[in-house]
Amino acid sequence: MVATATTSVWKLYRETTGNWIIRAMDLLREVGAFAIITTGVTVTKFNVAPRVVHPLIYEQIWRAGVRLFAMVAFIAAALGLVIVGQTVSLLTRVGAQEYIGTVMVTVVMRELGPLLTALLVLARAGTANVVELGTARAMGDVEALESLGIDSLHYLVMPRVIGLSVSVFCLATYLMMITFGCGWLFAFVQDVPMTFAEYFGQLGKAMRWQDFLLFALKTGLFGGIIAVVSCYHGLARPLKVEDVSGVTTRAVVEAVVGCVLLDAIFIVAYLFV
Amino acid sequence: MESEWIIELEEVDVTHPEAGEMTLAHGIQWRIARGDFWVVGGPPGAGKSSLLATAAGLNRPGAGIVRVFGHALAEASEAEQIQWRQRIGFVFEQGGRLFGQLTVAQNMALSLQYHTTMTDEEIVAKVSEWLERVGLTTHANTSPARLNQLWQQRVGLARALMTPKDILFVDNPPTGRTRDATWWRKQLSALAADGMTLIVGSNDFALWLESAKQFALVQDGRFIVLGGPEQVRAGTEADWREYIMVD
Repeated sequence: MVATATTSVWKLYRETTGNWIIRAMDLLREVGAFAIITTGVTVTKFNVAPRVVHPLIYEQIWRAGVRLFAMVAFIAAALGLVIVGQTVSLLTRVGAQEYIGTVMVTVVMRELGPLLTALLVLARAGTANVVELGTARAMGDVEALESLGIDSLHYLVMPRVIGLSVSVFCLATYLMMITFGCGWLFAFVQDVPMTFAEYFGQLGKAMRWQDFLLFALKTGLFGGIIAVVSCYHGLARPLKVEDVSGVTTRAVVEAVVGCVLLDAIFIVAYLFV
Repeated sequence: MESEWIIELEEVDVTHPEAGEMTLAHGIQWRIARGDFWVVGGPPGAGKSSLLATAAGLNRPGAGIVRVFGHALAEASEAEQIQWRQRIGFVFEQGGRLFGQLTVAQNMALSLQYHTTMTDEEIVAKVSEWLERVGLTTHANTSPARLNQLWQQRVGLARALMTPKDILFVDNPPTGRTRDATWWRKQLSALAADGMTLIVGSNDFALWLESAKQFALVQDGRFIVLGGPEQVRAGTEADWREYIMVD
């Protein structure tokens, strides 16, 4: 009786959690392999056919970066007014204004800025990538490129990886600057006894060179993860047009999980700097 | 040293990647020599297009060996495969699979921009020359979606031949006694006369009896070589007459 129950619990575990873990590991291996191959192509072929591929990189920066600036600026302003301004006001009220810089750098520069920007880029450009590439794959564009002797990773994936990495970095930088600016504006309106110079002086003191390095690395990698996951789902398997919407949803979930996991790794890195 | 065979298929199983790797034809033995002109027919869904794509190195075979210019594709690096593919032209069926985000002229110029160091002026001149040849000069800046499929396939032909090719695959060009079918027959016959190796997927053998040298079928999962035009004309009682136009 006990043995039967143990067997069925084990079977249930194997069929649910076990299978899920195996599928997740398989996916990780496949996306990892795709990321390694893409990195290889990006490094070795960056300057191959520049008059074809470099305009595609600029186009991706335009689509994922420049066109998203207004949305990022709006979110940054809201973040600055609602959260940062209130935090500054509160810390000043309890006499802890010397921690303003540290709190702002930790919250905005290290955590919220990069992750929020990555999620915005994922929502706007990552989903568009899966739909575009999935449709291109379903319509036979990949075979058409190969028939012309054009490496589809070089033509379709590399511009997106570079474009999204640059875009997330630039947008996160703007988001951070606007958030800090609006934070001071809110504090000013609230009559917080802190000058512009004191506020930005504190922020400047709290930032170390490692913060800038890790910020660039983190935002670049967030962009890379979004691009690789979305391109993998769009291109890695033959798709029918009706499969594209389901694949897009999966790609979004996996890119979010990827970004959060990377964020966790960076939290550990911050403990040592 | 390159083999006398441009393409060799040895015991190849042809699969359809979008149909869950379903095998369409088994154990294909096929050798294509320089200067050959093959026409391959078969009932709908038999695997003509997949066979052509497999022979051109675009589809991975389910089993067997595909050799291109004497080298086994499966053993070649990606860089080698890309290099060989530049010497193989492929015109896809149903509109030629043009890139929808590019104009007609940009579609044609893409391989020149990607593979050559030609100046923009030289590329424009070459594209204009081909636009004139395919009769679409006025549509240079048109999106491919605005052209009908017959014209799209003409652009596909021009795109495939923008850089020098050793062999050209043409999948399902227009058939029957139409002006378009005649246009394709003239164009491909002229290419064959210039020494181009041609593989055409078509069920209209009548259109190609004057110019093609070899005819074959994909039928019931097998690749059947019928022979030359005489053998095709002689097969009056054959079962493939149901779907192949000969008269």
